[in-house]
Amino acid sequence: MSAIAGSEFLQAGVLVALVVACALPLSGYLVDVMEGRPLLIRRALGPLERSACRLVGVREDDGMDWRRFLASALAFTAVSFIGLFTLLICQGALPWNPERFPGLALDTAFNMTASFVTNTNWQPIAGETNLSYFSQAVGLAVQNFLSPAVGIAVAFALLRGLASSDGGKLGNFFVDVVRAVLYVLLPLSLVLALVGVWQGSPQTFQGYEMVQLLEPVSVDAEGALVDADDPTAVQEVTEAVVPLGPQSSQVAIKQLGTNGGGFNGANSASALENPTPLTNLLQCAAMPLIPFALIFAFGRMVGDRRQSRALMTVVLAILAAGLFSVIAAETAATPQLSADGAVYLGALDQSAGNMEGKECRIGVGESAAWTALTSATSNGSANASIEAMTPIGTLVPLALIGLGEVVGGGVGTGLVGLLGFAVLAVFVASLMIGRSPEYLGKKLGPAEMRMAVVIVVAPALAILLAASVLVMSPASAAAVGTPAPFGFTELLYAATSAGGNNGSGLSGLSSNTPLINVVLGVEMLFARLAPLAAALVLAGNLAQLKVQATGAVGLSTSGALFAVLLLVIIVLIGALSLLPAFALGPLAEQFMGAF
Amino acid sequence: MKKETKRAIRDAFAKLSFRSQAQNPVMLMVYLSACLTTVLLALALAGISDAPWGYIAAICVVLWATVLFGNFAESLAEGRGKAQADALRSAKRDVEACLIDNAALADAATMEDPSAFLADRGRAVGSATLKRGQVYLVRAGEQVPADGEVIMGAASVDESAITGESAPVVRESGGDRSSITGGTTVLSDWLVARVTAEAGQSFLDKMIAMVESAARKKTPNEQALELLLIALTLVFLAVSLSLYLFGAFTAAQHGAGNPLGITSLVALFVCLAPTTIGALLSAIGIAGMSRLNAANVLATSGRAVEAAGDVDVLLLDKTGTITLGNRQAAAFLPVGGVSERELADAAQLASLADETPEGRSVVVLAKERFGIRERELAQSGFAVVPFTAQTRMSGVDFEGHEIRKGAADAVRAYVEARGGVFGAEAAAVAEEVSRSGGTPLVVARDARVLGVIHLKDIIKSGIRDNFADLRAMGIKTVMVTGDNPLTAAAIAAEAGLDDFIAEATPEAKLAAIRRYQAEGHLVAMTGDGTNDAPALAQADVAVAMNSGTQAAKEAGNMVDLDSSPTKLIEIVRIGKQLLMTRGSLTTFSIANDLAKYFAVIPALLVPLYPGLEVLNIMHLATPASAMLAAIIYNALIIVALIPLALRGVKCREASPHRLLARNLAVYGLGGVIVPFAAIKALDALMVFVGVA
Repeated sequence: MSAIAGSEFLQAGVLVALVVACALPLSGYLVDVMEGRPLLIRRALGPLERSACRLVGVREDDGMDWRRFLASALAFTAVSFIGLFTLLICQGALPWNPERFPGLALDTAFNMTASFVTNTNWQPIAGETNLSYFSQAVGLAVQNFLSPAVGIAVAFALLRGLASSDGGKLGNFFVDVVRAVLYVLLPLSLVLALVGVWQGSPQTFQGYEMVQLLEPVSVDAEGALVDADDPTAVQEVTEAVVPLGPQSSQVAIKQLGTNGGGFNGANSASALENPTPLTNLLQCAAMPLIPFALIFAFGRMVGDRRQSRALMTVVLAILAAGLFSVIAAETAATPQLSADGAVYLGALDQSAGNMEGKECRIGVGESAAWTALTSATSNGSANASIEAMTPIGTLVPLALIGLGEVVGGGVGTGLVGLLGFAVLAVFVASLMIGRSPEYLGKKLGPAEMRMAVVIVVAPALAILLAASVLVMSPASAAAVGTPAPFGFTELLYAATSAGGNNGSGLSGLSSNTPLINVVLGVEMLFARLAPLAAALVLAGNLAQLKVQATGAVGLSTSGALFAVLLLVIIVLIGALSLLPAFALGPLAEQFMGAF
Repeated sequence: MKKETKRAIRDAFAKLSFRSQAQNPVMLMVYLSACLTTVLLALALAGISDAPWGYIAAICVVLWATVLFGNFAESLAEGRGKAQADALRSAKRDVEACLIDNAALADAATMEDPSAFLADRGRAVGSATLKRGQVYLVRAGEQVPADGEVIMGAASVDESAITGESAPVVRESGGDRSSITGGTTVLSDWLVARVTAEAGQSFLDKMIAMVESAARKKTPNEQALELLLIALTLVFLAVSLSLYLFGAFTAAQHGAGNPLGITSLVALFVCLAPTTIGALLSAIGIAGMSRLNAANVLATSGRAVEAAGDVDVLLLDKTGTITLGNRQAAAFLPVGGVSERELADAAQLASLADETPEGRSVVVLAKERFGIRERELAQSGFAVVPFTAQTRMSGVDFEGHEIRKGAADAVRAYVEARGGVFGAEAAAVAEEVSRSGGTPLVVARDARVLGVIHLKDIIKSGIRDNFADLRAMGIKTVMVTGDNPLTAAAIAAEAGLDDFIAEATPEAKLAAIRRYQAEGHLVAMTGDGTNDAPALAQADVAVAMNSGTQAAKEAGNMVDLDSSPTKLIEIVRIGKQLLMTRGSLTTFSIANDLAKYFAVIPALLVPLYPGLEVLNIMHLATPASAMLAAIIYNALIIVALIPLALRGVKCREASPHRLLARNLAVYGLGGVIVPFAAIKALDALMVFVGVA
């Protein structure tokens, strides 16, 4: 490892350590507010909470069993879906549209709606050139709050199922959503948005501004940008449009809610969304913050924090491997780069690394770290182009997403995915010590296994099936920007991103086609709702079970041995389901020498 | 070749029907894959193919072999049970039964020789026609016609047809030895019994069904494991199908034909699917039941066997399990200035007529210590006073003296009734004996207390180690005894038990089980008497002694044919072993896939991207040889693991943590390494014989 990679890795390590340090106290706060314990903030915002609950007609103490909880979550998602879809196709007739953007095409609107309702934020189109302020603020931004809130509600339902034997009651879905938004997502994003505004990110409802370029550029006959004095230039460009709008608030929740959908197409590579090193650091840290806090909340809820420690160790181990690989790959001077003339391999410890597709202000190291975090946490925002990364640099986010939402994952859904794998590991490990499986004192029978299995395999199945449908269509060959193997990687990445509800993408793929929009839209809905429903059924089953005293006979699920087993199972299932596909994509590229 | 193996091979082919394959989803997919390759082979022979016909034929043969190996494993496991069932069936003959009507039964009660009278009055019927509630007579040399509850008489019975134990057992009316089983033989005397189970539902019938695993249902753990295997199979189906499409897309981009053939992808799918555990799953379950049967325990369901593995509290009866059935006199402790010899002399006299093992041991101890010879009871002037439930004492009246021995409170009442004093010293000595785990027997002559005999429980040799093993496994042992708490505590400490329930009544036992269960424990117990039935019904694993009453047998979920009190420990071990075998082979099966990937992926994809040859870390000769090596390994590993599946993985008494570490190392890590070596070897072999 080069010294550069070493210091970048160290920097990323410090960042992750900071997040873990913040997630610990946050987890206590999360448990307090979600369980409705008296806190100062609840006294201050209590009237809001109560009126929001009255609005939907629920009482705080009205506990739901899994059927009602699931029905509520599905109904809520359906209403969100219909609302957002209608809004997007009718955008032209709605207010706050200074740029007069028309309504979206049906397939695009379907994809966008599925994407934002499922906390994916895959965007077939760039926001600043297609969406009105109304669509952004009332449509997408609202979903950016609601979809992680649904995730938190489901995660807490599962935790309550694990922790209590309260006759199958999992809490109240609507109360959970209100509390998650009011006490968790809103305050945290308010802080982050204010820092963004302080650092220079726009927060306004004014129209886009036209600014003079300091250094004019030109375009050639094909419309590509060239230097002003280039002989092929046909027209000089002296002004540029600067998209404004409520950007800082959108960025804050996109990072905190593992949404990832930026205001601009360039996402956090854009200086408007991510103006300074401080914002870059905070946005990086915001991605895993709530997912990590939820893992710690698990330990608090079941009354044994060592349980969280074991899970967290697994998460950090995978994340560290991902961070390390992508940083090492991107900071290295590869022969391919040398062939392009981008680096000179003769120089000792040359430091440029792979600058293609990176924002100069941000650099290789921070771009690589961001890429690992955004894929591990099912966030999907970007501060660099993954398209332009090295084969290993592309493989890492593919793998981190393809493992399922376990390495932090989405807000709520990440914990669900991790616990799904934990149930599986408990099952195998229990049998190996000659006991019927039980997790935290609750017996795991066929009914519980069925649900855990759905949680575990749904993402892999979704990815493989969606990628299969995509490659079968002749239209796909036209949509990819590069020939195979990279063209295949582009399609695989799209399917993986949707199946992991991640939302990041390879920009070479022209994804706004009816086929890709519909396939990915359906995939996102499946990958979100199947595990969500399974988690609630599982929670309902567990909540009805009596806790057994395992004592010395039982399997310890808080020790290092269990953590290792869990790690191996997660990696093995991920590798077994996706390795052949990876071999045809990034691995082929890596070993072919093609770049 | 052994008969069992032959039968298993025949059965393996018989199980090729779709219906038997449909029982096992994973193997069904292999079966369908084999069918598909057969069709592909036929097409290839007709000239339509995407691979050389020889390759397709080889894959096809290996796939069918995989299916057959799975069938064979199951048949072999069933074979053991079938052999046992055959032996049992031979005991189940239709015999002539002597049916007694109620009038004759009432008359017989007053007869001098009821058996002769009843034999006269009885009516001969076929045993198969006996109905529940009817009464029959069975005499020496006859076979018991049906399961029954003895209502008159006592006899020695040969139960070897069921238990394999040749020593005869006593069956008699009343008490806990009143149940008799159809198919056993009366050796001496006679019995009158009321039918408790008709033909077809008898104990023997149930036993046959059980060992034949005809009534085998999948246990919850098996169902859960099967769900996991189905899910993995689905994923690998998706992997194989999608790989075909990905290959086609890639090839089209290169402007070439898809090098991935359907045959290879079918082979890939079978390689990856968890066939090892899928093929052995039912064999493991059946073999677990067989092992239990071999230990002479019959379980009413596979669920009960698995529950045995989960038990963490064992209720063990003191007598027979922890201590030898009888206590022995260990010391004479005189009080009030009486010499030890005087006490020994009186104690021996009081015990001369006492034929219990405790009584004999008093006589022997007196002889050993003081050379006091046994005296003939026939001597004049001896009047034996036997033990009664009212006096709770026994003794002799001798030359005008009354010598009594009994429990301290009984003797106190006796002495005080005669105006004597039960001194504080005697009470203290008795207390001391209790505290040390012994049983004090106070000896009194006339109204004077002479001293105390210390009766000691003899703890079975080796039982302490047994309990230490159980503790290492995390299982709590609880002794159940009628003794007072002091004695119980001392014995429990000496034998190394975790806890005890003293002065236990059936109600106390039931309450204790409920209490443990409420704390979240799973409780196992053994029992034989009718009054154990409620506790047996409440326990999670309840082993009834075969010598016990019908009520106890019905309340329990297992019957121990040997009626051995220590059997519970063995049952727990077998239950654990069953689950461990399943878990370990699952781990092994899934871990195998890693090596198979390194064989198969380069083999399949190198034609598209030659650079992927770097993944061929085993340096397998050709894509075809790599593919074949992987799939042949996949088939052969089933055969190689059959002995392990039938025998079960080694069950050690270790903490869960150490067990997991060990099994993960052996079956997880081993499962990663073994196939690399084996696939490489198979590939080298193919190169050597020249097929690759």
